[in-house]
Amino acid sequence: MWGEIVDFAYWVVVGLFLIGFFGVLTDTNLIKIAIGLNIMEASLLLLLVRLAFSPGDSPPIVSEGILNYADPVPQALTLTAIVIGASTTALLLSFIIKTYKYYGSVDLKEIRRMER
Amino acid sequence: MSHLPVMIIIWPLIFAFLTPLVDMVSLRYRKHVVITFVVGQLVLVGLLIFGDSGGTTYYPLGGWAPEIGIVMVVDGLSRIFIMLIAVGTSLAMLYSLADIPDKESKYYVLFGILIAGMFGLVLTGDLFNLYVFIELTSLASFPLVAIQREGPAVRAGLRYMIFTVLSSLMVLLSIILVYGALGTLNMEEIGRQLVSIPHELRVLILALWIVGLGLKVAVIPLHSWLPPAHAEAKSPVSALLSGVLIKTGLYMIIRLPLLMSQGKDEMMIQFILINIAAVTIIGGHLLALGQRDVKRVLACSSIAHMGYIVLGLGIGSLLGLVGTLFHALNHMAMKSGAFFSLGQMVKDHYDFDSVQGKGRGAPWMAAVFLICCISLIGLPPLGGFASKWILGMAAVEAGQPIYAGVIALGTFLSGLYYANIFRILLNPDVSVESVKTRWLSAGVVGVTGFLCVVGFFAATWITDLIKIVAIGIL
Repeated sequence: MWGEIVDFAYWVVVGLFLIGFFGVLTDTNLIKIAIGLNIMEASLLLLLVRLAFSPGDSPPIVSEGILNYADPVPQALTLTAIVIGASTTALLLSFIIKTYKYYGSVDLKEIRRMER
Repeated sequence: MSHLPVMIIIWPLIFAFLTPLVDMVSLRYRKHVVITFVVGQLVLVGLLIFGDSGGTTYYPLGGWAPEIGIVMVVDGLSRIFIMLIAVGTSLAMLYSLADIPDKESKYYVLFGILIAGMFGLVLTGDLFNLYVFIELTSLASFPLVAIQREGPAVRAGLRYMIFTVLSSLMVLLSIILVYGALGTLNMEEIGRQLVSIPHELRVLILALWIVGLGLKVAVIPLHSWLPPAHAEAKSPVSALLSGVLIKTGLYMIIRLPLLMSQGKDEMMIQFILINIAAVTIIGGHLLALGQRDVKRVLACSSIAHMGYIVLGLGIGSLLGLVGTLFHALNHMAMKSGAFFSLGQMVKDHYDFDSVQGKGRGAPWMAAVFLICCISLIGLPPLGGFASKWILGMAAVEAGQPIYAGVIALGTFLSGLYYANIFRILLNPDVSVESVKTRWLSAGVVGVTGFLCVVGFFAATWITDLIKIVAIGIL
């Protein structure tokens, strides 16, 4: 039971990563590109959390009578990566706002047309 | 135990967050703060590089053992890159004093964070820490592209940002896969154990690593973000991005795959790298030939020069690696010099029509620009020639003379477009008024010109030093 659910997590990771990647590559709307990057990031965070845990593990808090801990390192990494992702997204959005103020559009096709 | 490795990272951070505070008191102290910072940085770096016997030094942060804590490693390779970063950033920082208006405190904050990030990146011995520093440098460099500019520069910065975030995600994925397979983030430990990873997974990790960092160093076909970003920024920022920042991607390429590759994988990686490099050299020069804007030409030529640098890695011999590192140092000096001197001759609008005859307004700056460009083309007696010659020799020695031919063809192509730029800059039919240069900027430009010359006349000495490092890497 546990094994199936956990392995399913890998497919979710692959799926989310590809969905995000597809969005970044094909979409011309800057906001959607930002969303795509965020989806990719989320899939990687999921992968990290999944790596830390195998079925039957208890939380990484030292107490008597518990031998199998989840690996605490990836969880710390996940927190760091979330912080980095949030700041990247904030900066990305502020750039998009500046672009919108100058060009009046967030669509790359229209911006390209305007530059000509 | 000396605290130098971590001091080098803290010093720019102190500067970055002190500057706005000092600005609140008075803008008059800007010059003093910046000069103090630059001198302090050079002293710290000098102590770190030349202060001990030159072996590998470990600095465990907070005294934690390397297995559980984060360790900083000072070895030959990081020494070379620390020197490159310290010289490149110091010059750009001094140059900014004249080029960036005093009231822009933000600029110095971002600049300081960027420097700290780059130092951390080449000093850390922990893979995830490396990722954090990659993101730190990236986050600081995006706004620098767009600072004091609008419209097209913001768009260039945005494009640069999307590509870089994408590349960081790929690097992060490969780091996660490494951790999942080995359960450690210590880079030395990873280097030892990577052979034990199953072959398919190792290929995936390597592929992600190379594509991710290929985006960072802008090899063709992953280059399209670079020309607008490097061309739209202000002159000191262009010099910094082209001269220093893309070299950190190179550092990471050298650091991981060459440590871990064995036998068949190694051959495959080298085959891929050398061919990508050849395409990048020719493609970069052809792109530059097609541009109608001086800064864009210089930016495209950066792509081609990253090609030369990767070529040395692809050859995979000792001589190739020496050529790579030497050319990275040389390229820092000559590309920064070209952007600096150009920034003195022309203040705004770098398209071919606007720069007609501008070189005659500031003849000394034009002279240094000429020196840097000749060095970029790769003609003697300047640094660019020395390192290209070594790369060519390495290709011949490895039994692949066709790549020496690629280098020669690249030299010919770049000769064409630089000659064209000179024809335009020195156009005698246009009347121009002379431009006044501040002594500080003139000094910085002079130093870069001097470094180009040093690169040729001290070539044997420098390559001997690099060789000691390179033997340690292979």
